[in-house]
Amino acid sequence: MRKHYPSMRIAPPWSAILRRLGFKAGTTELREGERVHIDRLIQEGIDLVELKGASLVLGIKGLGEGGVLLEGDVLFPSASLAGMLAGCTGALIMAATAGRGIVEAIERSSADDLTRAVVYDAVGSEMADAALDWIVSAVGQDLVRMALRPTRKRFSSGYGDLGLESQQTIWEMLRLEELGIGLTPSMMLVPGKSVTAVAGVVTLA
Amino acid sequence: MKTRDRIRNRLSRRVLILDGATGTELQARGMPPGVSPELYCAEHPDIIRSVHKGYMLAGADVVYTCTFGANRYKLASYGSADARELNRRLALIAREASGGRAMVAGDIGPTGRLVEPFGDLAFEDAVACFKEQVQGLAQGGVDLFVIETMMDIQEARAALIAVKETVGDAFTIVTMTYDSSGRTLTGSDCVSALVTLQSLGADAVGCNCSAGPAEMVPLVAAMSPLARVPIVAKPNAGLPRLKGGVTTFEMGAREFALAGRALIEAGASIIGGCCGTTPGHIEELRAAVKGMRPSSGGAPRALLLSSHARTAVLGEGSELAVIGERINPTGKKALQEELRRGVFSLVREYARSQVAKGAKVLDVNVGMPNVNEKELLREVVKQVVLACDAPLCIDSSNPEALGAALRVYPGRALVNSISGEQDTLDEKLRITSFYGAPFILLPVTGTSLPKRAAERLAVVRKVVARARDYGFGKDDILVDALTMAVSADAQAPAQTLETIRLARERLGLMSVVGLSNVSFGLPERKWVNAAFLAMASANGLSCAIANPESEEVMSVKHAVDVLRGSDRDAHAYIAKFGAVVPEKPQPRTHESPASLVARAILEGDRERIVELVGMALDKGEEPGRLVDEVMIPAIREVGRLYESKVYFLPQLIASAEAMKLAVERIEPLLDRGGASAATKGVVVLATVRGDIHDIGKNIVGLMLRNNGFTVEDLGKDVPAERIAEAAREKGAHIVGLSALMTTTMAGMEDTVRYLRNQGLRCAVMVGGAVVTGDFARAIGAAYAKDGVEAVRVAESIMASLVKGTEGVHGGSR
Repeated sequence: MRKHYPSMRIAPPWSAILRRLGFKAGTTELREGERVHIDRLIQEGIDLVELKGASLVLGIKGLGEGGVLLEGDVLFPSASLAGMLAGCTGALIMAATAGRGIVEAIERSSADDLTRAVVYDAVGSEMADAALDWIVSAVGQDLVRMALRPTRKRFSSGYGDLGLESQQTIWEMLRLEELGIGLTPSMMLVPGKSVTAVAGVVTLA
Repeated sequence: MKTRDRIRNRLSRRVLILDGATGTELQARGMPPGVSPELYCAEHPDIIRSVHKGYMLAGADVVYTCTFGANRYKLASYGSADARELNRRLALIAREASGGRAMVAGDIGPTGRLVEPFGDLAFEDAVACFKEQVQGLAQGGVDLFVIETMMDIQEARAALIAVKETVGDAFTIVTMTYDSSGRTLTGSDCVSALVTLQSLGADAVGCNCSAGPAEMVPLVAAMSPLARVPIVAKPNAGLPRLKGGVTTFEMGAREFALAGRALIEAGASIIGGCCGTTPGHIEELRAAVKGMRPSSGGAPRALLLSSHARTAVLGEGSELAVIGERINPTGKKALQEELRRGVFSLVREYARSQVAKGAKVLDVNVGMPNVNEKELLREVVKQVVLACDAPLCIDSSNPEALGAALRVYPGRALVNSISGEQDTLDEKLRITSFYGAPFILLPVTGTSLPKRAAERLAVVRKVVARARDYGFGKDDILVDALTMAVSADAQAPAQTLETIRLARERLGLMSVVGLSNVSFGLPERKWVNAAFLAMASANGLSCAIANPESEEVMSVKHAVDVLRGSDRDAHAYIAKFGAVVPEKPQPRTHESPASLVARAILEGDRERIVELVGMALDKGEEPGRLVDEVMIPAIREVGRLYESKVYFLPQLIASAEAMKLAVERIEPLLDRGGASAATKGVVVLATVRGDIHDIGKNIVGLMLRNNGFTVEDLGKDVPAERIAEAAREKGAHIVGLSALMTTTMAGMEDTVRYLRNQGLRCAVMVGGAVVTGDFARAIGAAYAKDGVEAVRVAESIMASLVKGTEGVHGGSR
């Protein structure tokens, strides 16, 4: 069943945002007021994020060197993805976006306040990534009653041999346009802070 | 005896025992993975019958029907449609198996969809779906209902409303599932869920699944002080462990049962087991808690409000609560226009800013002429829910609009208001009571406002008496003490204060004022408002509808909290006023202006850097020396601190931006022939075609400029042809290329090839999240992992070019 999550609420991944910005506990030193300022920027970024997501679980029809064939004859021509899905009964296809507001704010700030822009950039990326974690958990709660669960590992379009063309397949399958996510001719998702991923579905026993 | 009486009777004597897991028991009996347990049970009634019997013989007082996923949305994935009939059939099987020796609970689980405003399932569609299930279960003869494993409070509400609207007063248990952070996936905490669900009519509230008994104890303990209904705990057999790809629950029956005792001690009175538990676990659990008496409750006197993720406690001992008044179109043209156009950006902004300023509750009012208030109020409530976590006060005189907003609000909202008007009193009380919402009592009966406190109290008495018939208690009512303008009637404030005092002393009721009315018509209203707030609180005021963006009002509120003891040890007061923002450090007398410039760069002080550079120049610093001997060493020190991780990215960028401002200030003064004014090299930067990420490239550009390079930034998604053209035109020494994705890395190779084919011999430097040194070498480019390294690599390239060395690739990492 395809699901849309038009207004996702997640706990902001504060530590992951700081890590992405290079913060190392015990080593990075912040002067008085600096942490307050950075936290304020992070909070502003979080307020600008409007998380939306989508998911779809499909059975696996075939796996091999040529890639992965899913229910409905959906093909992902990626040997690496096929490797990751070995032993799985299905695939969880998902997408998430941090929304247009944060991306526009990053672009606006890039010109005259790059500090703000890099913080917003980290917030957008980590929020979108955390949204995928959330989707995995949400789908997991559904699957458990059928003695199934999603895998922790996931694979994203544009990495390894899973070409960006797969982004179009996912975009169409999940009807991402309905969530305000577009696709450029070069297969990039817009708004920029949008991600797609494929995880496996395995049986519990 | 009715089920409710039967359960209450048992709970007065002992703990009520629920059954254990169904899914894992069915799997143990051969149910294959991936099938619908409900359809499987309908096809294999003997198997589910044996599960029910197993639990009944183990001593469960209640067995759950195997209908957890028997709703139209879940069943649709299996090509099955008749949810009502399936529920009826499975309920009959459970009844038959129990033989009347255990009560049968009609089990309702999540649809798997999120309900608006958090998801795409319309609230009424969710209610309709659950009604189908409830009808089938009722036809099958269940004794009670259980709504379980809910992760979306809104879905739990929809299911509970479906039960109430279908079978009236059936005993209904609602349990949510919380992750290790103590919240549901949609962010609800257990206390807010408890407040919302118990007021909406759940007979017992609690938690199930996700955690073992030990992890559930803190949840039960958190709910217990505010619980007005029995608390339920139905934990898993410990935390799931993944062993060789198989999820297992390792807690044995005895261990589980002993841990279950702690749940009772924490305040639970209805317990059972979830995933991984067996009849053995339930048998041991029953034996372990034998003789334990359930908690008798006794929640303190307080008015409880909740959003989906936050609880507000109003009442004696609680803080003076400010109800933010700004979401109200009266006198706000911009807001009126937005609301008429169906745009809600100002609503969201007001919501966030009021909460940031300390509003505990937000008043939401959309009353204006020529709008559909019912539709608009419902939509604005949804928008505010998405914008912030504060509980709401729904403000309308229109009963239909109130009902529509309360229905979709995923919490327990305060209703503003119900007056003594005979025409609307019963209708408003009926609606408000159905959703379990507390209300503000407006002591008005006709068109004129009672002037004297005694008259107001008479109306209050009348409304409270009628409200009691609808199940309202004193903790569900806030008396509006009717604040009138002191500029119109000098005696009016005294009557308001008297109303507050009498409501508290004579009727034991909490009160609220619309604060700003008191200062109407006066200049500098904030002082009158703040003073009146202090006076009202001295008379026992519980909360004020006010503008939390008034510093004076909020300062008085914080002071009042300290003085009346609700801000224990003045924590909140000190947090607000103790951390006084330090003045910007003034130039130390012993520090030279040049040293201050260096410090401003090191500290990323963009506000003062230009002024400090000016001071240094005024003191006779030579511009070229300031750049070469002060600023460049300072920014290099920043780079060193960044590379050793003492600084992180925002600090690096803040320093780089301060440096940029300093350079811009000083550049026109540099000796054109001097070393400082000469460029170190020309760099053309671009994110390659197909890639739209450019923040890393922007950082590199900033760092290079600060270090004396001339940078031409072509932006993102740039074709090789344009890069070659710019490189030729600008006489670039270096072309810097960025890409974030492995797939767009190929664009780097294409660009390098194109540059070479065009006869351009400039060096190429690449970087980006997935780019490596090996990849760079393979395409004949230098590699820099970040902005700091990019400067070093670029300098190394330029040094090699000066020496006439060929094949410079630099940046080995």
